Amino acid sequence: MVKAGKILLSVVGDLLPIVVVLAIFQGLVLRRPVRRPMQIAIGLILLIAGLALVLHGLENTVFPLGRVVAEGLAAGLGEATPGRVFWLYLFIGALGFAAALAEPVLTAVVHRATQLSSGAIRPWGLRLAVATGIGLGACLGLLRMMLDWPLFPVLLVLFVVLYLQAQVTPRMIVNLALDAGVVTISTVTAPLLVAVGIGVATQLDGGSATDGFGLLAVTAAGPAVTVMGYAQLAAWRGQYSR
Amino acid sequence: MWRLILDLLQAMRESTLTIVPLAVVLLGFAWLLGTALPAFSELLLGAVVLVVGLALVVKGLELTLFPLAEGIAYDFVSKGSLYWLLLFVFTLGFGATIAEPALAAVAVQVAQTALAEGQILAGEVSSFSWGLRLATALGIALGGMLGIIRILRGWPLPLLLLLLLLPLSALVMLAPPLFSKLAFDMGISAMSTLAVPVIVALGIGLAGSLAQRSPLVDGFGMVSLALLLPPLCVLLWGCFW
Repeated sequence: MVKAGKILLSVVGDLLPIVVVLAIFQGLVLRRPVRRPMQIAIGLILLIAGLALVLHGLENTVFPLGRVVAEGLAAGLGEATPGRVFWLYLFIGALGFAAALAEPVLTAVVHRATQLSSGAIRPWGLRLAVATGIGLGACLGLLRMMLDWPLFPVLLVLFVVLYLQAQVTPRMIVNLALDAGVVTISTVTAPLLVAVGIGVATQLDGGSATDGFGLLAVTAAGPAVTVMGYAQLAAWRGQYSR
Repeated sequence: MWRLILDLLQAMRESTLTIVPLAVVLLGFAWLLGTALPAFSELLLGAVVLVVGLALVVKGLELTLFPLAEGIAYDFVSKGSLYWLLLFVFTLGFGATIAEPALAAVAVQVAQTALAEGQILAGEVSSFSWGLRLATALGIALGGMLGIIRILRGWPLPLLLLLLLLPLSALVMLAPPLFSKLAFDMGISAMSTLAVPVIVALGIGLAGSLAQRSPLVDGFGMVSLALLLPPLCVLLWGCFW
């Protein structure tokens, strides 16, 4: 009971600054009443209850399991056999893919994008493209860590690739694709990936936990590449069938 | 009322589909490694809690933060007070980030690790973690402002991101190596389940209420700046550390 109260309190504390800033500007600066106050009130209750449930479920079921598996796979990386390393990459890729799909903010943003495009953007297609990108991005992030490549040059190359790819992608999708990484790496995905990253970093030769940083930044570029790729594929297929 | 219940059931069907892959991956690998699994009843309870919780969060976001933020952007435009809009997004970005518990936890953890590795002194832990939070919050706030200006001016986002890498390359070389390592993760760690929808919706609302911009084409792109602006601020701060 005490724990549930603590989670609820932290959710409310998280929501409070956003609601206060919104209320101050809506009321004092704009002096406009809030539209549909009843809907907002119901929605806030759903949001607070939902976030508390999600945090509870993640902390009691998902994160412990993720940590155990990550530690199990990272242990013995010292005498890394190719087989072990393969399973580690398969795990972080699959984990990134699956966690991205479960991310509630991605679901909400995908719904909005589908509405705004009046159905031209397929919700599951977009979602799978994003999730694939998180999985591949996490693998690349892990590769960078294990080979000890410096972070910034890798990011620089990724952003140049994104810039070039954006030149040949339908404009409708470019900004959405660039947002997808930050949108998705959130409540579910970030802690799971960081757990694997820290687990691996501390096992590497002369490794320290600070080597675990940079995993999220590289992962975030993944969905941008795959979502633009998905849009290009859809555009080409459209031309071909015509 | 009925409408809401039907919507929630629909959302739960969707959230069930979205957590199946996560369950398969975690349980599959745990089974392969021969890890002791929690009791079946506990796993089932966890799954039900997550399915209901995720559905409520998605619906809650769609009923509150999305329409509120889109509406406020529309109100700022119709009132013609774009400077207030910039002040609003700065306050929102800074306030939400500085209060974000996930970022606070990351900052403390980073400071502890840096201390353990002898990169900072024992007396500097608290000022280091606070500096990290302040720099990140400033970066998110400035990123929000830059995002609004980009929509107003119609600048292309990919080019803007590429240009931001120029000052970043210089700062990466000037700042101590510790900062270059951690700076690029800070913005992502700071953007939570609540901050992201508000900022995304603000962009959509702004682009939607300007006649010459499209909410889909121009409105997205706000949160991608959280990848580069917080590192910029963290590295700048690092140069003076």
